[in-house]
Amino acid sequence: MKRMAFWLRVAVLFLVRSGRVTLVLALMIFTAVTALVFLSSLATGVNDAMIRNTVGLYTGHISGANLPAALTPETLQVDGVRRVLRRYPIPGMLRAGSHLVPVTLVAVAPAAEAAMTGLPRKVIDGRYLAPASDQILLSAYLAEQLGVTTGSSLFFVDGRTQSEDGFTVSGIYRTEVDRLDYGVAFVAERERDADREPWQAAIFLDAGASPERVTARLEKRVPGDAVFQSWLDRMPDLRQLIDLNRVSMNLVTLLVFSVVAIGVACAFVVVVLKNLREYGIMRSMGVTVGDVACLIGAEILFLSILAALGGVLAGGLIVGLVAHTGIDLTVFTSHNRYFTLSGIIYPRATVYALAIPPLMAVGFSLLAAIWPIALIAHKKVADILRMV
Amino acid sequence: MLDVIHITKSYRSGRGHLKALDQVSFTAAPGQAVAVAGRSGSGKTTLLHCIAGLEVPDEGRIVCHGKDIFQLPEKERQQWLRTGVGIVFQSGNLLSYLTVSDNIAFPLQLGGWPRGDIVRRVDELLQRIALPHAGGALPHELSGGELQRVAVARAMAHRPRMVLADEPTASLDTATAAEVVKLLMGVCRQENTILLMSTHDQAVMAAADRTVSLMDGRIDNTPPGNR
Ligand SMILES: Nc1ncnc2c1ncn2[C@@H]1O[C@H](COP(=O)(O)OP(=O)(O)OP(=O)(O)O)[C@@H](O)[C@H]1O
Ligand SMILES: [Mg+2]
Repeated sequence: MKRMAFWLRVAVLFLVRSGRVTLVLALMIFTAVTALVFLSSLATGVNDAMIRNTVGLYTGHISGANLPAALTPETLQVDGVRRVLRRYPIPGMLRAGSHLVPVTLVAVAPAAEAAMTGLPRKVIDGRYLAPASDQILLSAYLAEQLGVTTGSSLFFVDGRTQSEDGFTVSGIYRTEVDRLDYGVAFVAERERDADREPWQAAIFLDAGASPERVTARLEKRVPGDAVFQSWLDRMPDLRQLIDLNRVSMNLVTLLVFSVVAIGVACAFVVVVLKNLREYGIMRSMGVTVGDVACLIGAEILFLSILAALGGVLAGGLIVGLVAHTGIDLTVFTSHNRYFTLSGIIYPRATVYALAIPPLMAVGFSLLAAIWPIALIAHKKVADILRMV
Repeated sequence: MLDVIHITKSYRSGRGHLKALDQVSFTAAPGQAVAVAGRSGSGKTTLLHCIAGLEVPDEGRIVCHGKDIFQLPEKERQQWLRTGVGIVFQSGNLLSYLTVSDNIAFPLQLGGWPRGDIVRRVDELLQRIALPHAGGALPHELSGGELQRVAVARAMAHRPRMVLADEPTASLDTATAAEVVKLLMGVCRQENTILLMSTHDQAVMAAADRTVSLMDGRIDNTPPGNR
């Protein structure tokens, strides 16, 4: 114990008094950790943005289908749920003049939709639905098929009752998402819609809530034919993309620290060679190879821990600064269906992003100690002492 | 007592097979200062390294106070280096990033001395080498002569059975050299330590109790006047 404390002290003195070498090595580790904390946070931010865009456009984190009229949205307000939007799908036909197109008409609460979803922002002509109105919102494709524009009148024929309803086109939207651009149209819900069934729910979660866990809670609360599906199940492609993003980030981290470890090893070998005589003197005083390993290991350990902590701090700080403004990557995302609403990335430092780079830095640096230690262990003390 | 018995050591190098030491034998007693003299390449350094246990001879034995050094298991030989031997080299003796005090204390730390004893011993030695205020200085802040005095203090600190000095004065001027040798001999006599000094310096040989002369790796018994 006392011996350990002695070697630790010697290690610290070495680092403090070899200021320049220490600084150069620390800078290398510091920069790498800072960069990787930031990059990891950026990758998380990209993932967040893809989820936010996809989930926020229309569907919510979890979609519920086949819900009975007796079930109120409040019932779905389980732990982790921020808001539930109720939607009534009505299959039928849209008719304008001689044009006839099959659609699913969706009756929604316009104010709530505008507050929670991005669809109102995708309106390219006219405006979104006014509450409790006779307005209809069409996709650009549907408007073209029907030969209508904003302000035109048209009729909806209910597929079940064959009753006809007149609507005025309030606006036209385009999302680039097929499921929304083809085959659906939106109207404002009215009193009489209240006992329509089944209805659909778009469920939005609190930040950080797990979609899987909330889905399980919902399934427990609503037994029967109701179907709940989180975006993870609904969009396996997005899920894979996010996993791919994580894996490639880890690979980058691994590569960067392999390079840093080689750098640290080389630098330390140079330092050891420069001070070889001192190690010879130490060994002539009965310092064992184990002690020397302890010393060099402690030197590298202290150095890397301090530099890595500094890197975490600096990286975290940069993430904190950029997290407010975000980074606008619209140029790279504008034609991408995972970024329909916004291409602004808000880097987010997760525990993982803050912990993995410094841990790797310290681990790899310790690996880097092997080479200089082996160098000293392999040299005969008498030979070292003969070198001037 | 130190018994050096028939030490032979050869090197294989670019020049072929070279006998650096050939059947070297002599003895030294505690408190005695022995000068190891000889021309460059005569084997002085090799001899001191063998006696310290840093270099393993091909033949022969080194026995110090009943311990046959090359019969000791590795662990005990390290222990012997830590406790039984003090070494002074021509230059570059100190660890550059430790203060004078820390350098002197180094062998004491290795030997696991209690803290209070270390502080006392370091103070005592700083007084003895006439650098009472240099404890906090770093090696690069000292002159060559001062550095050698600190090296002497460090070699003596843990009260070793013997001190080996390989040309301790070779890089000093005559007056400073005399001062360092006087110090070295004084401390060794005072603490009853065997002292072996390799040297080219006539003054050092004259000051020593005895001189062992080496010539091409052999003990040279020619009287000094006839060389
Ligand atoms: N590692 C080695 N490999 C080969 N030859 C060596 C080695 N070390 C020493 N020698 C040779 O052994 C002989 C004795 O060398 P040593 O260093 O002991 O001489 P020395 O008396 O100390 O000389 P100097 O006064 O110059 O220091 C020399 O001829 C030297 O070249
Ligand atoms: Mg020599």
